[in-house]
Amino acid sequence: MRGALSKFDPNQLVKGSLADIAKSRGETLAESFLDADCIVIVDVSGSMESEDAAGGKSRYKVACDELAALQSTMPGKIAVIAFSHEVIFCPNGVPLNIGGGTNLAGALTFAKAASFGLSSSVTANRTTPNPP
Amino acid sequence: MTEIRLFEVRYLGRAKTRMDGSQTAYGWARGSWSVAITKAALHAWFGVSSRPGEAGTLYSTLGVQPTAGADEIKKSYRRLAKQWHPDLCREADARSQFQAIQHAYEILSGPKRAKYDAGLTLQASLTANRGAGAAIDDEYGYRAPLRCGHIMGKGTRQGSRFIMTEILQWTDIFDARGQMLVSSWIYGEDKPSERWVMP
Repeated sequence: MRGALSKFDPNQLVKGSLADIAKSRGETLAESFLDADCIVIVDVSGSMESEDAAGGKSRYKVACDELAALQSTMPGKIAVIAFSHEVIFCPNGVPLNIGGGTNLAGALTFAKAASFGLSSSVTANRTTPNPP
Repeated sequence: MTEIRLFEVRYLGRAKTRMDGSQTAYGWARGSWSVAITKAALHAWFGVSSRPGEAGTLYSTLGVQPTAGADEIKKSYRRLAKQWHPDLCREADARSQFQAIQHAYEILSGPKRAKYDAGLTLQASLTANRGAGAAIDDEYGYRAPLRCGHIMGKGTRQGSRFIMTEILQWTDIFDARGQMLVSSWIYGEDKPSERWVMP
């Protein structure tokens, strides 16, 4: 399962991601974040490796594909945060595959600190969060 | 021996790497390059992170700390706008510098500041080696937002030059008529160009 997930290069720059926009405008990530409307919080815990999505794809791959499409149609509007037992901001638009547990509370706390002026945040999660 | 000295710096150059490996900006004072300010001292004074891979911020563009209040931001903006206004400053990139200053003030003086600060929080959460933006230094070395002033700082004397490692105070230079000095150095000329303007 890990082999399938390794096809996703965390260094890849998704078209329309905050890093892509920052690079094209020659500005910092903090400046590109000014135009973001939404934070998408993506579960990248071990359970997301399950290949039980349509077409035998892993849940993680489906999430990455959908996020890439979303950022492409809404360039510079989506901030991506990946979480499992830790939380990582992914400005390149690809939620970093971490594996491990599910610290949803930590992810929401992290996202709250970054949510000023945003209209919404969305959580993509398929498992039960770890108990506090 | 560490001393505290005050210099009337008529022009401050870029912080470059010198032959001895130090990174300093030479200041023209008392008719010679008699003071050198370390890049670290300039970064500390103007709120610039010296960590590799970290970008300059809109705060460092205005030469203020991220904790600066609205009045301080406004005061710094007015000061820099005078120094870099294309009608007053004769340096080749004055217009782009002036636009950057205006852009920074527009964000930091309004409701977008909180969102920008949130973006800085996200940016800072990235590790240095993943890169968080463009480097603050260009290929010619770091240039401080201000290029002249009465600068007081701590340092030591090395030969004929005072090496300033900590800046304690930086105020504008005014003449007897209350006009402020705006200093710039045009490429190819042998000395800085000075203009006096009303603040």
